[in-house]
Amino acid sequence: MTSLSKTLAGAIGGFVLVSAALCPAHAALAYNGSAAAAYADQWWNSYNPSYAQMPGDDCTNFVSQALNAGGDVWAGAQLANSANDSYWYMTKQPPLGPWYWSNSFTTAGDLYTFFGNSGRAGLVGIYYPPANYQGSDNASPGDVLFYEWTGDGIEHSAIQVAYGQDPTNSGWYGSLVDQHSSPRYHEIWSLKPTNSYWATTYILVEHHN
Amino acid sequence: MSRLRRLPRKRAIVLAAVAGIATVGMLIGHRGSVTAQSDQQVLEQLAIQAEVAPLTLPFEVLGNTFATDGTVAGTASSPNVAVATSDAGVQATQAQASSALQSIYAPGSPELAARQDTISRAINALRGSGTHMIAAGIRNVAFQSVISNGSSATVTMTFTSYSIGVDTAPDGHAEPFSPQNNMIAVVTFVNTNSGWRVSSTQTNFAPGSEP
Repeated sequence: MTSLSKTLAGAIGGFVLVSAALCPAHAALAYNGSAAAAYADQWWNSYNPSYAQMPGDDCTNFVSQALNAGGDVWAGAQLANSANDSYWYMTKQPPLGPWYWSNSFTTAGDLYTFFGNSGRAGLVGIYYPPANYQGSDNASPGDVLFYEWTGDGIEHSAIQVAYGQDPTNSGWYGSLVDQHSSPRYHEIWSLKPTNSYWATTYILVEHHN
Repeated sequence: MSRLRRLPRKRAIVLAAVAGIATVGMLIGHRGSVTAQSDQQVLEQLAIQAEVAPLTLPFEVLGNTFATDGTVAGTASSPNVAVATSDAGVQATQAQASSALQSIYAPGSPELAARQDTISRAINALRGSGTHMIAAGIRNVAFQSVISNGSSATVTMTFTSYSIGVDTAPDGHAEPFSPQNNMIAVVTFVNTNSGWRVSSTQTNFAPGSEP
């Protein structure tokens, strides 16, 4: 192989590696909410090594992974971190390099803004735990719930996975969510059994288009 | 910036330090350290009130609201509360909340407006909810630091928030709830014409204690 062909081969190889890093692992044409919910049920209490881990602050990273499993593809992916909420991605410098992500992939308020910017999901309701015992009837598996605890802005996100009885708190019935930080499986949507700030909490439900 | 106190510290040591400062102050005819001690108590008490507010002000407060000694862990607040259901009850609770918030937050501050909006909305949402409240508040208060330069101040604290009540499900069954969370808060203050007022709060769930 000539030096030129070696250079070309190296460039092509690098391009393939970078392309592999930037392309979503589960690209699909349409969003599959059931697939997103199944991903959440699989990983609610552990971390998928295919993504960066953020123990203690992993809620939106977890939701974004589920969205990716449901078919959402990266938007504006690059090998750098970004605060641009028109972007949504988590990439890795191949083969072992550091992780990069957009704020929208890991931060609840930024994901909410990304939904608005991209049109991938739309607000279908704002719910107050005091006034809505069973919660968001219009949420479907794979939809995202955003939580604001005391009026300080959106601080948490979870993914709707089912509608029924909370297996942990058996008396509660309604929309159920999976989440990280703290890890919960099929928890009642309001989080009332675990949220002492339930009275001032309000929840925005985003339905994925 | 002067560091007024750093906890945890044994009460005896604190008392001894306060006594020593007061004695020195009297000996040299300077009351600055006494004022600082007073500021510390005011700041700690206001910080407690700011953190108790979102837990109790959505409800009618039936019992004691704030203990006088906010520096002693476990006695910060233990109010009895109830959901306001009548027109008069809702109006009284709204007025009570507004008055309490104005005594805590800096007048005209965005934080005051945001808190009033959040709690007013909660009071209205609670009405007709079928929720029966038993108690809400904070306990296990510990101050990590109280720092002041005379015109502004910062209090860093930890505490446990709690809310105890019973919901009535659509099928009529009673559903009790008693969530509690360990919290970390940084409360900042501004010294106004009316004295110290809260200018902002940053309150977060402690790791592992998120809902």
